[in-house]
Amino acid sequence: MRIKVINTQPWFTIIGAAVWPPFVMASIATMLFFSTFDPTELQWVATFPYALSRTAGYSIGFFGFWLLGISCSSLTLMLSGAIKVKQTQ
Amino acid sequence: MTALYKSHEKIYPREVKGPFQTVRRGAGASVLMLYFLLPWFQWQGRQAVLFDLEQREFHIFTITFWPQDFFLLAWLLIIAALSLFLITAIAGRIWCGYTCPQTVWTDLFLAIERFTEGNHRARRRMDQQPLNANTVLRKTSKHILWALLALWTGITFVGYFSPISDVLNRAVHFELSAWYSFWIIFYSLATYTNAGYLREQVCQYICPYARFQSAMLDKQSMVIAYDQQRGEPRRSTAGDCVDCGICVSVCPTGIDIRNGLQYECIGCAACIDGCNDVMKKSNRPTGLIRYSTELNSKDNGINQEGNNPKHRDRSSLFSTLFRPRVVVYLALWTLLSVCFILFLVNRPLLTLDVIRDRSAFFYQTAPGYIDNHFLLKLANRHRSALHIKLSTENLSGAMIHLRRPDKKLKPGELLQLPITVRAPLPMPPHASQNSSEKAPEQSKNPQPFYIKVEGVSEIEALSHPEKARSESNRILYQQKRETLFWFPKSLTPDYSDSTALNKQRI
Repeated sequence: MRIKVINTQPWFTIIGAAVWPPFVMASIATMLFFSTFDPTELQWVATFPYALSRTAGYSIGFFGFWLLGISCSSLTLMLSGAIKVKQTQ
Repeated sequence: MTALYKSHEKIYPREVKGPFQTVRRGAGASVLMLYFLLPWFQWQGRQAVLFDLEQREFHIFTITFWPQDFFLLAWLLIIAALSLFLITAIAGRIWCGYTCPQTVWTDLFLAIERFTEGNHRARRRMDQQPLNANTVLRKTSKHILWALLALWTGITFVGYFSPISDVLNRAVHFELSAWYSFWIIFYSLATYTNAGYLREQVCQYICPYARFQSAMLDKQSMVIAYDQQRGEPRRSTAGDCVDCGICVSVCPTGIDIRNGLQYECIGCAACIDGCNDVMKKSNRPTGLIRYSTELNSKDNGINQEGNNPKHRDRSSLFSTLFRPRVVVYLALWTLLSVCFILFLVNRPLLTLDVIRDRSAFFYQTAPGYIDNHFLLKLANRHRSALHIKLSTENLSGAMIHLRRPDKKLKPGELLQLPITVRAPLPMPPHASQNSSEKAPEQSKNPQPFYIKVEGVSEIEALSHPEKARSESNRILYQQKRETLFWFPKSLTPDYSDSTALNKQRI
């Protein structure tokens, strides 16, 4: 049994839709979040094992938001039927 | 089998010259100059435009923003979005065709391609032929130039967030930190792929603005349109279109404008310049393809009402500029911009908040005096350090005792300062009559009073020593907040403790 991913639109469009809007939103979320919370102060609150510089904090935050956004829009693409996941024998 | 990219035919846009392309190049050059030169401007000894993420402060010429001013930045983004709506409603996709970084960088990369590989025909031929030494040399030089330009774009980008001379210096000596190197490479790669390979596909498949522009355009927005009534039938004496195909070959998105308004059109006006050129050469009036509104272009296959002269009159310049949509956008834009400027100008550079100590109303520590404890929250939004001075108003004989002698606020600093305000205990009526010295009268309990803060900036004091010397001119910023001072509840003579203490004092 294999899992087959079927696309109804060109892959370029689907990847674009999954990656680009979350990129824009992650930029905004990063600005909003880190204007309130300083990453160097945040690491005292969070049980984080490493000392981070501010740049590292911002970068990790940005990619975290981006990853969340990508998973969200990927699910949307799947639920809206742009990508179909099927099992084949 | 599905390809990663849309099965897509590579577009080799033909170079075209004309008045619109001259304006476009000018606009593109301005955008590039602004982007590449802005980080190099110095202003009062620091980079003029610097969004310093490490220090959490943002400098734009004389204005310095701190994280707590974030709402102003969000506000500015809303104004920017509204400007885009306004421009789109009036002039169509003028942003896309003339100033969008995607278009500008694509044009720059295309110019490099033209420089190394030749014109559109030579490039197509080169891609169709098997590889030879000449092709390899030309393609390699193109990629080197592209990579250098992309790298420079990446370094400049990071230079907006960290002092650029420092970034460049460390980049040259390979001493950049891992994150900085990563961001430079990330941004360079994005530029390289977007402007070198993806090009018009970004506008067609990724850009959300291209998708929702139809909601902002109406029949009176300016678009690029082909005059179908005048042009058709093609290649005949009846129609003006000679079907030379220049409008298709110059189009950077590879569409045929003669099929009507399409979402792929980025409004670059290359087809207008190309067509006008052909019209002049074949002794026909220009403007077969032109900037027009959907109502005004007589009949481009989309709108049949266009033939009606009544509709055409409606789309004069005046009615185009003053239709409800534009007026509403303009009103909103003006309102937000004026409020933004007012907020910016009236932004207090030194702020003060007073919080009372909740654990006890008052303490009696020295004979005849009552202490109240407060927590001050001071924020310095000025770009230089402030020496602060605290005082009280409306509370006679009061003194401020600092638990910490820290009286200097660094730029952008938010200081929580616990203070003690000490005031003499009000005299009971009979005690004040007997005493020779006039006792301070506090009329109420609790007594409302003000805590006042004055800040003197270091830079001002240094650059204007004569002003700094005279005490009256030194106060630059001041704020005061009203709060309450609590005395012991009973101020009557039978309050043994206080009377006893007062007698001792006398």
